[in-house]
Amino acid sequence: MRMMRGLFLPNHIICEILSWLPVKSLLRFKCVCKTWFNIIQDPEFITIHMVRAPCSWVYQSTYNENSCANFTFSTYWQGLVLERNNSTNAYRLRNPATRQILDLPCPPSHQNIIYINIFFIPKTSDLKLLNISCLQEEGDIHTKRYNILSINDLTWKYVDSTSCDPTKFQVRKLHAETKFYLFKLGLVGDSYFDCLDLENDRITRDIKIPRKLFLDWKNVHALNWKDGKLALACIDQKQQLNLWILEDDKKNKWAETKITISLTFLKDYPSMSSQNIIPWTVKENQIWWYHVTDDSQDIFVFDIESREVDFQTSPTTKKKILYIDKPSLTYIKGMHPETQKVKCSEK
Amino acid sequence: MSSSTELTEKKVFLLKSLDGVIFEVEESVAVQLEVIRELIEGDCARPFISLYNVTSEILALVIEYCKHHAETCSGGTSATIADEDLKTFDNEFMNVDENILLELCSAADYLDIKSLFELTCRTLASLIKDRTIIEVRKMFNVENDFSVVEEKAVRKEFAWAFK
Repeated sequence: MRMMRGLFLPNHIICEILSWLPVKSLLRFKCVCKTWFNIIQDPEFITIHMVRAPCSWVYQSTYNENSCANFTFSTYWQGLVLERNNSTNAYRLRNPATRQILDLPCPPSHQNIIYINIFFIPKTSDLKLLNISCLQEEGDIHTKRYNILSINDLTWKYVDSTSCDPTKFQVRKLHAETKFYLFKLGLVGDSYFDCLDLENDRITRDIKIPRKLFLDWKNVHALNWKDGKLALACIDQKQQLNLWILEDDKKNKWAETKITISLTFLKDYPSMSSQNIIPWTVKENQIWWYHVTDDSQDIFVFDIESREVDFQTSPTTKKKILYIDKPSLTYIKGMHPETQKVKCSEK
Repeated sequence: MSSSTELTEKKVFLLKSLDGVIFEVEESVAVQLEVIRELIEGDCARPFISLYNVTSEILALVIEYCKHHAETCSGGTSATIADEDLKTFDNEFMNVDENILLELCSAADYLDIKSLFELTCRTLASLIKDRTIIEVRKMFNVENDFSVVEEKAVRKEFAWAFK
């Protein structure tokens, strides 16, 4: 009866079907035909596929079991793990789902590393690694050295911050799209921030933050606000979260008024206090927090509208979360198979 | 405009399949097919709408799907119960021969029914996940256009995925 025997589906449908498959099946299905091969390699397809991939928590313990000895986890970006070789200090990018690796050159300094992260620069389709090390000078004076690696040309560059005395400042680091901010919160005097623009490798140092924003700067946190903006936040004695939004970093323009959110949930969770919960990012109408205790770090979400709290992990697991994995086909030019490490993997 | 249309006559539309069978559907069902919604809005839905790419067998299934979704969503039950009900229905609805599934997927794309399109794509993906290359080629009616050497090279790159 059916008239369409031997149905032939157009590419956009094939693309949709394939986007729901796990990475392993897709790597096999590259062999089906040239059309499928091209779909599976297509950057647009890779993005859609990653969005749909189920995410999972990766704990420190699981990472240690599954990864090869000799490497330390540094950071994670869209299916890629950045890890450091314990003996040589060289970095590598690894895609655990496709088992591919890209070896990176050794950074110019690997002492006192206080920060490492990956930035995607859409304009040049480049990935940049930012590694910040602390150069100790005489006495207690520190200078931060920003080491930047472009994956496109595989060379490290660096810029230095101005010196700062760690007894007078507390440092908070924040990553927003193609910019990195270093907040130096003054414990006794004014506070400043540095803005490092990774698109142009340009730094603006020591931008003064108005002192009047907070009375007490000790527990101030920097976080990602909506629309790629930044905010500084502090929980006051009335258990309210006070937020100041940085409207324009170039002009150092802060919002006219602060946002105050009552943290009613603190009453329901006796283990939480303004000391051990850290606001980290805002997505739509939700604030994501870390709850840090001696042996664990939980993530929870607070909905600004409904005032409800939702735990992303069971508070009883007591395991340190390293990252949220989204298995993807992400490929960086020059990646090669992880052949020599086969015996380390599970099978 | 008021939404209480109890007393007014329900609008119906006629859909004609590729093999000439005419189906009568209510507006709440018809508007779920994005292509038809456009025709209705443009007042081009009379006397009937010809769907040249869909057989009567598949069109009957599509209408069954849209009808159930329209009824569940307007039935006045709570959102969570409606959700559960749709999930059960969708699961059973996907329990069909894989050739029908392929045609339903193609029809959902042509008629622009987003939820059915995603449902069929996801179901097809879970069906083929563990299949061999040869089985997949046969199912999707695609020919291997790689040369022996080329195919070997592609396989070699991710040999572990074939284990």
